Amino acid sequence: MKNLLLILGLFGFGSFLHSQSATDYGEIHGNVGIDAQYYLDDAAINTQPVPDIFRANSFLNLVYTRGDFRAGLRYEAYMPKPLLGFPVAFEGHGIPFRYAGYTLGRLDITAGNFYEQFGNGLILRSYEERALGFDNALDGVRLKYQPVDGLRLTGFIARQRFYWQYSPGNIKGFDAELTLREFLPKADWKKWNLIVGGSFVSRYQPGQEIANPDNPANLLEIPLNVGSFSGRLNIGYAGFQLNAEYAYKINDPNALNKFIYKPGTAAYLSAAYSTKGLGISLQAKRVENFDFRSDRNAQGNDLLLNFIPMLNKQHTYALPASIYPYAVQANSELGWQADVNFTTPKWLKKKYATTVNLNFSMVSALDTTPTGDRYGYTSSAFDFGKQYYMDANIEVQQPLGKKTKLSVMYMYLWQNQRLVQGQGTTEDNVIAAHIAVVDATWKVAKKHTLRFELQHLATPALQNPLNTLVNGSWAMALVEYNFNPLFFASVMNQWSYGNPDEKKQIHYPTAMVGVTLKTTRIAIGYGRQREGIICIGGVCRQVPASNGLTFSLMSSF
Amino acid sequence: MKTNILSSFIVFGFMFLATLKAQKQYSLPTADVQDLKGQTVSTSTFSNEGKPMIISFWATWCKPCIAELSAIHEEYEAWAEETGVKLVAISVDDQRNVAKVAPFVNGRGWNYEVYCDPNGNFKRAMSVNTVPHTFLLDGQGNIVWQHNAYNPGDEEHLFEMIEKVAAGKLPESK
Repeated sequence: MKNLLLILGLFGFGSFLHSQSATDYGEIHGNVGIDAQYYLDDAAINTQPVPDIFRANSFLNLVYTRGDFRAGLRYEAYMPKPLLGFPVAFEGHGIPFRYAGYTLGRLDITAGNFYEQFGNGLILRSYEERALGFDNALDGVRLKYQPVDGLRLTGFIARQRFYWQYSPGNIKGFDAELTLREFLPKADWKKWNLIVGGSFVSRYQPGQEIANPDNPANLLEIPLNVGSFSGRLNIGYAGFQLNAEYAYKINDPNALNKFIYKPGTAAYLSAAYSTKGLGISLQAKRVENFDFRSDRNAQGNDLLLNFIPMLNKQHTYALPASIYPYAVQANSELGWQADVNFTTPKWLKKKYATTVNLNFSMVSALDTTPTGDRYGYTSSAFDFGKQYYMDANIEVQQPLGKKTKLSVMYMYLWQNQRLVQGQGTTEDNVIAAHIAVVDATWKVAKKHTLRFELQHLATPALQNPLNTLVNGSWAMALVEYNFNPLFFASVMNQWSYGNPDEKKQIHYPTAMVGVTLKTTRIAIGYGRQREGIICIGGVCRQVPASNGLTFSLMSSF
Repeated sequence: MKTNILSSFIVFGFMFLATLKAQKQYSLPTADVQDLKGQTVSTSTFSNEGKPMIISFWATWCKPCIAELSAIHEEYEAWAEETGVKLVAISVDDQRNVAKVAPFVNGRGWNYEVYCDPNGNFKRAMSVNTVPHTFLLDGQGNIVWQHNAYNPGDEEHLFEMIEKVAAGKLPESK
């Protein structure tokens, strides 16, 4: 109740500032979101009994700025319990995120919560992904300083958010980045561009008693400080761009690497070339024993300190995105990706240009040899171990006239489910699927548009012990009507018609209507939600099957 | 439990009321973003020399965003000629896709000024919930209009707003 009064007080204060914003009281902005669901039982799709049948996840961000001063907070409420699929530890409400900061010329100070990323994120990335219930915000003090043009220094000391608590580990970080073009502006750089950077992140965590798995009578000697370093380089010349980063972590025995003493390494390389009408990019990475968290015992999505970028295309159509998604294996990965974009040139005299995207990616485990001691294993630098995932796809966009646009995608997917999704099986469980998507938009009249989506996933009726409801081929259709810019309605059905078990050939229909009022979007939906995995940016969340009524409101002001 | 539910409803109510109290115009917040060469740029340097400016948040994986930027691309030259408008596209792709942004933009022949915001610094400062989210700024750098989501044809409405701003009028909130 005290919390509630505090919130109401803040709102009073907020609206006071709001109404005064034209004068010298500063400005206040923010956003708000509510996702609520009323759950119904549905035996056909294995819904679990839900003790609280109405649940809502909500947040409100307030950001106050006045000149060089800024302050903000986020209120979150998961009441009476978090939506199904979100970590239950979120239950409750409060203000887990608040900060104040000041910019003084070349110095910037933040006290309280902040998000930060060093380089590509290999040793540090704190961020929020609300749709996944993921937030590893840091809480402490951060300084950013630019002593001379082109040189940027960042340092912090903080702990990490752990639902409504904090990480047991204390984190210190430092990063320096030098942009040579700004540092030496008088040099003749022509078309060259060079940026170098380096960072250091360490975790201090009090010791604990952990029995040596090889000899349970003895305890393991646990390092209290774990340090990681990384160096990076970014070279550009005209349309070419090369980005490389290498990171190293000293021995960090933790729950996920089964308490081995092997140091970790991560290497990331990206090369790109682009010119008007054509863009090509190639990326490669190698990750070994590089899961880094602010608690050596943390698992799942908890208390992650670093971010290993995924190397396959980020799919957004329902079937390719959520039936067999890939999840990063931070302790052993060797993979590469190629991506090409082009548009048919003007001299072809086509009335409407065609845009094409080609993408290929492959990820394997490292080729390792166990050492039989607490060091764990040795690995070969560039040999591929067991393959995790492969995906090849082509997407073509073609306007058919002023009123009709067509987009077609084909994708071949290969995945070893046992290695990617982990527990449950002891034998390799390989899935291969062909996926096709047709997406068409038709502008019926001014302000009225219709959009159609057809998707098909063809796969032999393989037995998947992890989730038998997913087995076999799937079809999906969607129709969406928009009355611009105010109203939309959509109807969708996913159908597991190819499931070898006839009782599991199930329709998952959903209907949704909503309005968009400038920056406020309100939607109401009804239907079945398939059990599956939602992934955003390489972090995934398991969503249980559900049936019911959903309500969502998103707004910014 | 009952008081919990009641209090959550009261809080939601206030949250909703707060959103209805939208502001007419405000200035651009400062945050660090990266240009396509990886160089850090402060948003305080964004300017279009007294002419209107569009700031559009998008991502390479966001279909409606690509539809919006492709639709504007077809009209962009004519818009710029008539009103002097400039479009600044802010990609919210995370590090997974940052290296793909330049090939993506050039592969489509877009002439926009493009920046990457891989950890959401600018996105948070602008209170952006979801992409696409489009802002329109007047010549003095004040945000005078914004819209979330895109449907085919929305760009016509945006252009009407740009014309008003270019003529020195404040667009009505619609």
